[in-house]
Formats: sequence, C-alpha cells, structure tokens
Amino acid sequence: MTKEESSLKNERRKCYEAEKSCRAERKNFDGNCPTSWVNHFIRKYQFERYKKTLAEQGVNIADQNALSD
Amino acid sequence: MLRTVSLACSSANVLSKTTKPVWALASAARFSDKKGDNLETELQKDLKKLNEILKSGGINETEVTNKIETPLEIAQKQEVDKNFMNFRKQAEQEAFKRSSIFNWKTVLGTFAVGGSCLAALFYIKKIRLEEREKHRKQTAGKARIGGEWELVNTEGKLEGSEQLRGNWLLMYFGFTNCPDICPDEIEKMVKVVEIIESKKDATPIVPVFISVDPERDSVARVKEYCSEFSDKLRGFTGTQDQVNKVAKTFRVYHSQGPRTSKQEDDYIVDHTVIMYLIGNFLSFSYKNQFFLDPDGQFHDYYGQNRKAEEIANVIEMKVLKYQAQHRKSLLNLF
Repeated sequence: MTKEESSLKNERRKCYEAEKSCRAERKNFDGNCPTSWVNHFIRKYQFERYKKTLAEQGVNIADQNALSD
Repeated sequence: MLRTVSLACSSANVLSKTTKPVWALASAARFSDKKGDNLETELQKDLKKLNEILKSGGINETEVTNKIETPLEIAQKQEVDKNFMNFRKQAEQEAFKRSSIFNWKTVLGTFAVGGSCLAALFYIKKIRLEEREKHRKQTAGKARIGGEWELVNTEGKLEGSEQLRGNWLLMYFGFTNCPDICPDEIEKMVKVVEIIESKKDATPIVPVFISVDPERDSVARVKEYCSEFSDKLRGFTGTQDQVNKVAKTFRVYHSQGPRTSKQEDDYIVDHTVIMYLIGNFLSFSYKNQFFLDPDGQFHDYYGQNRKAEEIANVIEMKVLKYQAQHRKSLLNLF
C-alpha cells in the first residue's frame, strides 16, 4: 500500500516537474519567438495533429503534400 | 357588225330559195288562167303550199337566226378577252400565273427564309469566333502572368527586369518576418540555382526575392536577410504601391494578418507560395544565340511540393526547349 501510495505520489511529482519544465520551455518559446510566430506554430501543430487523426480515422485527405513533413 | 351581216346573208338565202317557186307559180297561174277551175284549184293548192312554205320558211328563218345567234353570243362574251385564240400568249400567261416566283408571298417567304439562314450563319460564325478567341486566350494565358517590373534593390537603387536582362529569373515572393515557409523555399531556390550553375555551359539564372511586406522590410533588412541565404540571391523591396504593382503583375496574392496585441508590428503576411521561372530577354544575344522574348515572360512555376533537384531538371528542360524554339524561329526569319 505504501509502495503504491508512494508510486502515485511519485507520478504526481513527475507530472508537476514536467509541467514546470513545460512552462519553462513555453517561456523560452515565447521569449524567443514573436507572438505571431508562436500563434502560427501552435496553430500549425494543431492542424497537423488534426489532419493526422483524420487520416487515422480513414478520412481520405486528397492533398498528400499536406500530410507529408 | 359581224352579227348583222351574217344575219342579212342568211335571211337573203332563205328568201331566194323560197321566192323562186313563188315567181314560177305566179307566172304559171297567169298562163293557166284560161284553162278553168282545175287550174284554179291547182293554183290555190300551190298558193297554200307557198303560204305553208312561207310560214315554214319564216319559222326556219327564225330558227336559223336563233342557231346563229347562240354561238355569236358566246363569241361576243369571249371577245372581251383580247387574247382569245392566242394560245401562245395564253399559255405564257397561264405559266406566269402558275409560277409563284413573282408572287409577293413567295418574295416575303424567300426573304424570311434567307434572312433566318443568314442570321444562323452569322450566329455560327460568332460562336466560332468566340471559341477561337477563347482558345487564343487559353493559350495566351501563359503570357498573362509576368511582365516588366522595377523595385528597390539591396543597395537602395531602382532595379528590375531591364537591368536583369539576359538572365533567367527564379522569383519568390515572401517577407523577412516569415516564420517557416519562406526560409525553406528560399533555401530550395538557392539550391536549384546552385545545381544549375554547377553544370557545364550553365544557363544564366538569378534567384530573386521580392518582399510583400514593405512596411517592415526595409532595404537594410532585406539585404541582411538575403545575404544570409546566398550572395547570389537578389532581394527587392519598395513602397507599398511599388510592391503591389509587381505582385499584381505576377498575380501574387498577399494579405497582412492581424497584429498581436503585445507588439504593433508583429504580424504574419499570408501570400502565394510559388516560385516563378521567368524569361528575361529582349533581342538579347547570348553565346551567338538571339532571344526575342519580352522581359519578365512567365515560363513555369514551382509549388511547395517540388524538390530542388526536380525543379533544376525541369528548368534545364524548359531552357533547352526554349532555345530550340527560338533558334528555329530565327532560322525562319532569315
């Protein structure tokens, strides 16, 4: 039980750390990129992910160039 | 006239026929006066006969006149027609009546049919002309992209198609604040030029970058931006109007995106991502070859999906084809 508790606790701790580093990375990202670029890259990433999930669901994406990269 | 004469003749004939026996009988009666009653009775008989003959002759006469009158009447009726018995003229007239060529109805009909036929002909001709025009436009559509242009170079001087004459141009429109696509494309463009120039008898080709964001892209900034890619890359910018004009010449779309709240001059420009292959020759001689092609002539375009090697090969093919065509056309000229 204690082991499990500690492992759960460990998981939480790991996540907190990751979140912390993510924040730092985001700060780094924001600091080094113009806001317009940040927005552009996030949107682009989201769009790419969306296309990928669609393709996985079997949706035919005619533009193969859009999927490559 | 004819009627009265014939009537008189016929009546005279009848009279001469009937009067002869009358005279004979009368003379006979004169001589046989003395011979008695027998003769008298004979004479009376003869007189009776005569009377009868006279009566019958009178009747005959009227009958004859009647018989003659009827055809005369018919003749008289037909006499109104001047062409009576003139069969040739009649036949002609009949033919004329029958022939409908000179009929006003047929004239109108001819005009209507002929008119509609002409209209149809003109319509068909018009359609054909339109089709030809359309086809011509389609084939000429190639030439509608591109043309002469002039912008400010990285030295702050006006430069354009005229100054770059004698070169093939690879043109790319973008902006220095472009996050990802423009740098990739410019790198690709420089690579294409390097591939072509690495070959023997290399085609003179110049990579050109044109800014579609003159608000932020100063001459100095474009200069710095281009020099970081390659010293071969020629950068151009200008006033908003100058840039718009060139973008329109090459049908390049560009639209300034929204400004972020933090910084006023932070925005992204959406624009056409196309590399143009432009011929830039005007009565130019190169290696004993003459080119008769207006400045800024569009030849080909390459999208984001094409790879550098692929583009280099296509350009070399295009250049060879162009040179062959122009040598041929020059041979035809002389």
